[in-house]
Formats: sequence, C-alpha cells, structure tokens
Amino acid sequence: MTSYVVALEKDVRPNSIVRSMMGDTPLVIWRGSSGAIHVWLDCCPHRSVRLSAGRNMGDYLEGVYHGWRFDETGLVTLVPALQGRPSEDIRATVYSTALADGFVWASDDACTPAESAGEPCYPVHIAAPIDQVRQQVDTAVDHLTPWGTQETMVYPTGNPEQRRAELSAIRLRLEES
Amino acid sequence: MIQLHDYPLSGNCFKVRFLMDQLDLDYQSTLVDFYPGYEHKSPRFLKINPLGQLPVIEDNGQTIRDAQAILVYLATAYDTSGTWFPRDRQGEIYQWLAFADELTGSISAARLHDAMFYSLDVAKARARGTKLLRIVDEHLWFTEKDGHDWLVPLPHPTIADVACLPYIALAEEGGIDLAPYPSVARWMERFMRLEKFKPMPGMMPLEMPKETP
Ligand code: FES
Repeated sequence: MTSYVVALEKDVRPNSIVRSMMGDTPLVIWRGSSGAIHVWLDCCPHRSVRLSAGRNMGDYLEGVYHGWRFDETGLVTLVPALQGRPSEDIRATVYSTALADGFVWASDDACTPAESAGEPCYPVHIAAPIDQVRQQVDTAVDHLTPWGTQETMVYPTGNPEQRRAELSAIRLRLEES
Repeated sequence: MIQLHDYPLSGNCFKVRFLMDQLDLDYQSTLVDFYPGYEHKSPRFLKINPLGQLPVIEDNGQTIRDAQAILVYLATAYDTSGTWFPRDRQGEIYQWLAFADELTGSISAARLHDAMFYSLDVAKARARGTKLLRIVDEHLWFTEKDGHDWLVPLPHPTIADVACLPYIALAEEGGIDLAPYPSVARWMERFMRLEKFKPMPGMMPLEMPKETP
C-alpha cells in the first residue's frame, strides 16, 4: 500500500510534538525518550480532541484535557480520574512508521519507503490538489503528501535554495491558475 | 511607575507585558473593556489614544501608543543588557516590526472576525495571513539551518520575536491552520520556554517541560 512522507526526521525533536497529515487523516508525531518516532492518529480515544494539543513528556504523551497518559506503544497507562490504569486496554491509533533518507514515512499498512536521492530540504505547502501537483514535479526526488483534498505538502530533496526557488514557481503557477 | 492600558486577550498588549516582565519593570495595568464593551472607542479612552487602539503606556509624562513603538521605547529606555534591540541590528529589527503590523492587519483581523464578530473580508485576511506565515516559516527554516533560533540570527531573542509571536501563536483562533509551518512551531516553542513567559488565553495553556529541544 501507499506510504507517505509525513515529516522531516530532523523536525521531530525530543519534548515536542509535530502535526501532519496522511491523506485526510490528521497525525500527531512525537519522539519518545527511547529515541523512536511515533506516528498516531491525532485524536484522543477519550473525547476525540487533538492529541497534538497535549504534551510530550518523553516516556509518555499526555492528553491536554484530562491528563491521560499514552506510553510509546500507544497504550493508556494512566487515567488520573480513575487514579490508575483503566481495566480494559485503551489505545491510540498507531500507524506503521519507517525512517529513510531523512524523512519520516507512515502508512496504514506495512510502511515501505520509496527510493529517494540527496538531502531532504525545506517542505513546501501548495494549495492545490495532489493530482495537479504530481503533474508538475518529479516524484523521484519530491515526495508528496495530500493535505485534505485541496492541498499538498511537497517534501523535496536536493539543494535547498535551488529546490525552494523551483517549487515556489510551481506553487505560484498552480495557486494562481 | 509605568501605566499600561491593557486588555488580556490582545496580542498587542501581550507584547508589552512580555517585554516589561523580561526587563523586570514595575507597571500597573488598567484594564480596558475591549470586547464586548468597546471601551477603547469611548470618549474617555479616545483622549488617551485618538486611534482608539490598545496598548498605550504612560511613563514619565509621555504617552506612547502602538505596540511596536512601545517595544522600541521600552528597550531603548530600560534594557541595560542591550540584547532586545541591539544597535547594529536595528534595520533588520524594524523590518520585522513592520511585518508584525502586517500580521495584525491579517491574522489578527481574522481572529477578531471569528472570536469577536468583527465584520471584514475574512477570506482575504486569511489568504494574506497564509502568505505571511509561509514567509516566516521559510525564513526560520533557513536560519535554523545555519544554527540560529530567532528571527534575527543572534544567540538571544530580540523585540522582532516579541512583535511577531502573539498573532502567529493565535492564528488558529482566526481559522488559519498552523500545521503546515513546522519551523514556526519550533520557534514558538522556543519562545514559550523563555524565562518569565506567561501565556495569554488561546496561546497555549500548558507549561512545557523545561529542557529545550
Ligand atoms: S480528551 Fe484526551 S485526555 Fe480527555
């Protein structure tokens, strides 16, 4: 199945939280104290608010409203209101993840990163559907992730200054048309 | 003592409070009922600021309006460290102060529309806001790449960061998604971890773990 680039690896730092998208699916991305990067559905199984509004405490992610704790596997390990763990297993929705070429990849199924070349550089956000963007860029060096149905995130590789200039021109063309 | 005509939900007032806290200045806040009272348009307040805008400070017999002007005034008068408005970087800093004005005219306008029911062309305000966010995000990505953390590449923040932060941090209250701007998110996080930072409502309610990423 399709794997998506969802972030630059270097953007995902300890103690912080990154938001991204995979198609129409909002994602919360965080690096745990084990060093591993986790990509989850950005939706708290408690009341469906954004998990990304919470905090990355290293060993666990903490829900913003009621302080539920999720360990690095996505399991709820503490519900303050219950003064302990819930009796049944409650989990965040966890996606299969891989790191390749400086990108964080994610997928609904097994994650299989595509080949890329060179150093990843500044991601460019284009307010145009992914199909239109795909016709304009070379998908061997640029990885695309749809942001909803109308927008696209392009993760290019190569020389940052040069690629940025090229993609800005493409963005202008697509957004103005 | 410095008098600040203040409104807790105003990003422009936040800038002034933030810098005065950083400089350990004593000040007294007079709260102006901006919404729903529209007290800033009252005859009493218009005497203080004919533009009917917040914040205004009164200090040593002077009355100064405009958030950016107040930042310059306070840093020049009271910043003994010279780091908030360094002499040799003033050109760059003024450029970001002007940029902050544009943020007020776009992102903050969209927020006034959504949160306080102002009537204005919100689609236009958001489109402009998005353009500005792309510019800051890109700028910050490239400064980070060179190992710097702040808008003006120095080892410490300046009033450029103070002027630009609040309306960017409040963008989502105006219906502008911040998710596509990862460098902006990291910069805001660094800012919010500064000593004596007190968030304003809507900005980010949480105390972050203290170790810097
Ligand atoms: S909604 Fe997530 S902890 Fe309650």
